[in-house]
Amino acid sequence: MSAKPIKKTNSEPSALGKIYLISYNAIQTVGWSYLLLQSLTYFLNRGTLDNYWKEVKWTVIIFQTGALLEVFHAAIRLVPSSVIVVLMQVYSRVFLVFGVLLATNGATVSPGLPLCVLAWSITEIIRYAYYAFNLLNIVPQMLLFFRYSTFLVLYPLGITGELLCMYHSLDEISEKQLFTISMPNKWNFIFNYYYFLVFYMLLYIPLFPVLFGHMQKQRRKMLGDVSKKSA
Amino acid sequence: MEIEVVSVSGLKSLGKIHVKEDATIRDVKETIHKSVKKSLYPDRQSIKLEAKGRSLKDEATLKSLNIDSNVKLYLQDLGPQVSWKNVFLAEYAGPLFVYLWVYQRPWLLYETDSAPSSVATIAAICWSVHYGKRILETLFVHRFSHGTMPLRNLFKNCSYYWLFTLYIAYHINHPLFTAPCNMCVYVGLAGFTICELGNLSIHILLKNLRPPGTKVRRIPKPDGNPFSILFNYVSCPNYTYEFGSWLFFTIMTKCAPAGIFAVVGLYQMSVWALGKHRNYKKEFPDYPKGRKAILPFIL
Repeated sequence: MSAKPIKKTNSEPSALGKIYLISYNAIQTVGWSYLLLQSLTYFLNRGTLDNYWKEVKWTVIIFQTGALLEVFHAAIRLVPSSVIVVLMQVYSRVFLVFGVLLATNGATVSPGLPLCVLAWSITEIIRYAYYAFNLLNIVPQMLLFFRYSTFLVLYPLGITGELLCMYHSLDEISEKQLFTISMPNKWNFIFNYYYFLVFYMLLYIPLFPVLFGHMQKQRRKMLGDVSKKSA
Repeated sequence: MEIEVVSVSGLKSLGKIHVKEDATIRDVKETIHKSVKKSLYPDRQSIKLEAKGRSLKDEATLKSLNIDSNVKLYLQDLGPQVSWKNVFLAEYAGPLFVYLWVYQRPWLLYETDSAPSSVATIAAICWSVHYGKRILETLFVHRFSHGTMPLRNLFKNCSYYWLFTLYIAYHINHPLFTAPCNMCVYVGLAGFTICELGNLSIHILLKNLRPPGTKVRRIPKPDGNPFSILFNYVSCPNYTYEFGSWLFFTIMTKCAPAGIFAVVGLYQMSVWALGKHRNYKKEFPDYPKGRKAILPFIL
């Protein structure tokens, strides 16, 4: 892969940068909490799958698209994350929102939607809260535990939800030939969104163990020193 | 003298080796291969003075590095290696066979009986010439300064070439392919030919720059060959011509996938060219100023 840059021993963001990041993470925490609240309220009031997307659509759009800022944060080295990793993480979410949920009706009434919204919202509440507290150097032990443990359940649940949404969008995409170009055309270019989406879904198979394994490694690293295990 | 060898992973001592006073790093690697770990052939080893330090060059003598019995040498396993020559051959044979297979319009990809268009035929010939040329260069022209590369690179590189070939060939040989105007075809074909010749001549010039069996490096300069004039403007005119070939191929076929391939290739070659350009400038204090890396006046 690419060469690692030499890390500065103390690459802390400036005071202004810190205030900005804490605010960003706080706003995201509130946003995803609101989404969770909306969802729970909706279903507790016996809401059905038919109108669920209408209820949460704008909350999802605002706060998920907002995450694009994180790519920018990594690019200007405000945070130590790798741009490529952040881009991949944010991309998969944003792609689902714009390429599947906003593009088709089938995906929005899929049972996959409440599943992935539930998984996403709980994960993001914990993640952003953790970042905010981390910047203030006061991470509660419980939060650290949740951050590196809930993924064990939420990550598989989340991608199941995502795959279901995509699966339920396929028929409509094929019928309406959405985002699809066929030949003949001036630039001799073909793009078949249906096949692209199928290929994209198949990619989840090899990528899941890689990403899940990476998080397990992180878990051992962050929670492992409690039991004094050696590498 | 006796020197201790420590593995980079786990920092375990692997034992001591006996080497002559005037031994080189290469001799050290051979000794390790014979007496410490038979599975580690020399090309698979990296010898360092520190676990996280830089790899020592094969030609360096232990004396010049002040290595005696008190110094520990760190050994890193680079993983299974494959020779550059074999990698190139695999990378380039694939595109040749895949493209010509798709040109036949196999039933697996298309449902048609029609004959290929004239532009599709010209494109197939150009493609074959390009990769045929690359294979011949690998066998007869290129001299490689590094012997091997990690095995996983073979899969990565072959996937890149083979899949892109499939992608481009599928569109050009498609029954619904629309040929561009004749002028585009002529200009594209002429430009492609010039760039192929340019690229070949630069490779030959670079080969002659380095005496056989050595790893010496000299500043490349224009010689009698008119194509080498580009050396006045860029450090890596072979990459410039390579991009030119694909640019003209795209014009000749007016095929967006070919354009994508040209741009991706330009990106990768620019990264390499900028690296080489930087190395030239570092190595040769009298390196000509005013030369860019790959695109005259631009990059």
